[in-house]
Amino acid sequence: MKLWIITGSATDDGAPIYLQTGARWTRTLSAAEPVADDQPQHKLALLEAARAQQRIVCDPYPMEVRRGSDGELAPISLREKIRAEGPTILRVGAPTSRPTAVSA
Amino acid sequence: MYRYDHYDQTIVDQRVAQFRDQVSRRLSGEISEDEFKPLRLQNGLYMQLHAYMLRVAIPYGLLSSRQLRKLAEVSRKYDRGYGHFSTRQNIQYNWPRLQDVPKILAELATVEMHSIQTSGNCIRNTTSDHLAGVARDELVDPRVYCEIIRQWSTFHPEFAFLPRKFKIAVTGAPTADRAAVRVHDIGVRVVPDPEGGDDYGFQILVGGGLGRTPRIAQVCREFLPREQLLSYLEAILRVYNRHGRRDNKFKARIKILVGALGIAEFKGQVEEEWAQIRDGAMTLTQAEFDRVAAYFQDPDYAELEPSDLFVDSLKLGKDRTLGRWVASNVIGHKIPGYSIVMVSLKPKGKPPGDATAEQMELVADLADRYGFGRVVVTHEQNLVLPDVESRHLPEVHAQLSASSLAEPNVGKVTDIIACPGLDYCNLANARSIPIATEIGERIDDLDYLHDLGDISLNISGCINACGHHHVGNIGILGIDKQGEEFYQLMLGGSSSDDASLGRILGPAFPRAEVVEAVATVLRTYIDQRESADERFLDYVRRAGFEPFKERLYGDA
Ligand code: SF4
Repeated sequence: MKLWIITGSATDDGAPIYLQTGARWTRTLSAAEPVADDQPQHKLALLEAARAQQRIVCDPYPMEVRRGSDGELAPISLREKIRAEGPTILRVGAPTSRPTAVSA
Repeated sequence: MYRYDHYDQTIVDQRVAQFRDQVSRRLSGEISEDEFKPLRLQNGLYMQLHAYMLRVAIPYGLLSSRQLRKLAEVSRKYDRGYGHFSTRQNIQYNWPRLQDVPKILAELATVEMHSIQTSGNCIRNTTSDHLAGVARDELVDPRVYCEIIRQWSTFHPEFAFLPRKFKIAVTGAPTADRAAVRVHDIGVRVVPDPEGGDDYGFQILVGGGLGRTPRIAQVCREFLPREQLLSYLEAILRVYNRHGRRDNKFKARIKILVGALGIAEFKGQVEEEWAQIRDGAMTLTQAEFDRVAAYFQDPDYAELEPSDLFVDSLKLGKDRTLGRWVASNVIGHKIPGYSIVMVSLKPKGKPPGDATAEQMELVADLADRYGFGRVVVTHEQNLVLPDVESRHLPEVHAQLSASSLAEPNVGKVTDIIACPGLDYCNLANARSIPIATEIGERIDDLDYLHDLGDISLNISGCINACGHHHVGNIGILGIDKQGEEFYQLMLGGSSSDDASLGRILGPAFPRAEVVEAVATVLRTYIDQRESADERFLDYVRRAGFEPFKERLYGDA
């Protein structure tokens, strides 16, 4: 069954934030309150709770997550993964993944 | 360069005060994000994946060393110590906090900078040839007209809510388009009088653009007398404002209107509109031209011996590092004894167009020490030191080199234009920057790089085409296939005088294969070109796609 959490961008710095229990916001994705597909009313209620906090959050929306083997919530899409972890730029080109140079 | 008068400064200062109030109301919750969004966008403030992004206007890419130092200072004080120079000759900060943005704008206002009209459906920063004012092949300095257009278009009440954003580019060199005028909503080309008179005028192109419906601009008027520039632009904007589609964002650009009406009908409507306003208040008088042109007079150049032979000797000299750099990053200046230095912002392994605060400060220092305190941002995301005495080239090279700013790759395949892509952008399908950096890593043999010759390579993270992939000799477009990053390769694009749109080569490549695919394209060209004189683009135009397809996809 699909799992969802509510996310949006923090008004003060635009960073991704996630709704946790008690309608509070966290910057740690794994601390968010998940809601399953079979609880559509609860999902809607969470979204409403998020929208009511427009001073703190911009454009909240539900995002799909999964539970990893360690039991932690993790994003599914690459977009949300990058959003949660930051730009990937500094990690690319690591020696192990770097292709060998072209020669003429 | 242009200096603010009392009115300019007052307008910009008032705008900062107004935005400070809007920000404080947003932070206190008095206004919602929905209410705030149009206000922040009017001040160049976007929301990206990780943070706000502030886009600051650099009119036609021209900066004083003082302004560049301020940009560096802002990046250090309010951001993460770097800025990103964009394909519209602007700078973007990727990490400002909302409460700091009014402070940033106030600081920028002290050096006559702002972020007005860097977003929204208005006339954006007019872009130009990065060699304006110093190019040998220039007929007229286009910056004078860019500035005239800037003053006309800033806060123009009639054009504050156009159907869609609107981009104008001007080139003053009749035979070398370095401003990509054919892929702009309006392209303005300085041309000599076709009747053979002494004066010059403009060829006006309209309806070019990239994005999801790429188009090469068409000629709207072959020759426009120069005093009529603003009246004619106004006529075009009026026709567009009246008939451009507002019901569908994806069909709202002027290129769609020109396509729907046909160029003959569009032109007819423009001429009709123009007939009513030409010779009116918008006629550019000689006095007005002179007023603006006075800001763009040549600096106090020394009388020097011609230096072309000396520059050639550096190219062929024993110091191969210096020689390669001079060959690819130094351009002949219109004044004897001077050179134009291209500062590459594409060092290996770094995001194209990014510069740290320290790098910006170094370039500002070099501009003061070896030039006249001027720096230019190119739409290819590099910087230019336009006025270096050729005898100083070795010193300038050494100092740039020490700060990773002397990669000898300007115009080469690793001088990649790339949009921010999925690493920053909310609209992206795929990442652009890692593809660019990996291609840079892959082609790390400098002899091979230079043997490849001039090749443009452009990457966009989605169909919006901010990386101008349609006009790269090699274009790469990131797409999303069921949650996976894939990349389409295009070949044959050009944004220059011989402008053309690239065509898709074949099925898209997965993330892990695209860099190798580019390497294969390059190897195919090297193996099959007629001679080293046959440019990549010419080879593609001559040989077509088959040789590439064969190697990339097996049986084509
Ligand atoms: S091309 Fe797409 S991904 Fe790249 S910056 Fe533009 S909107 Fe973002």
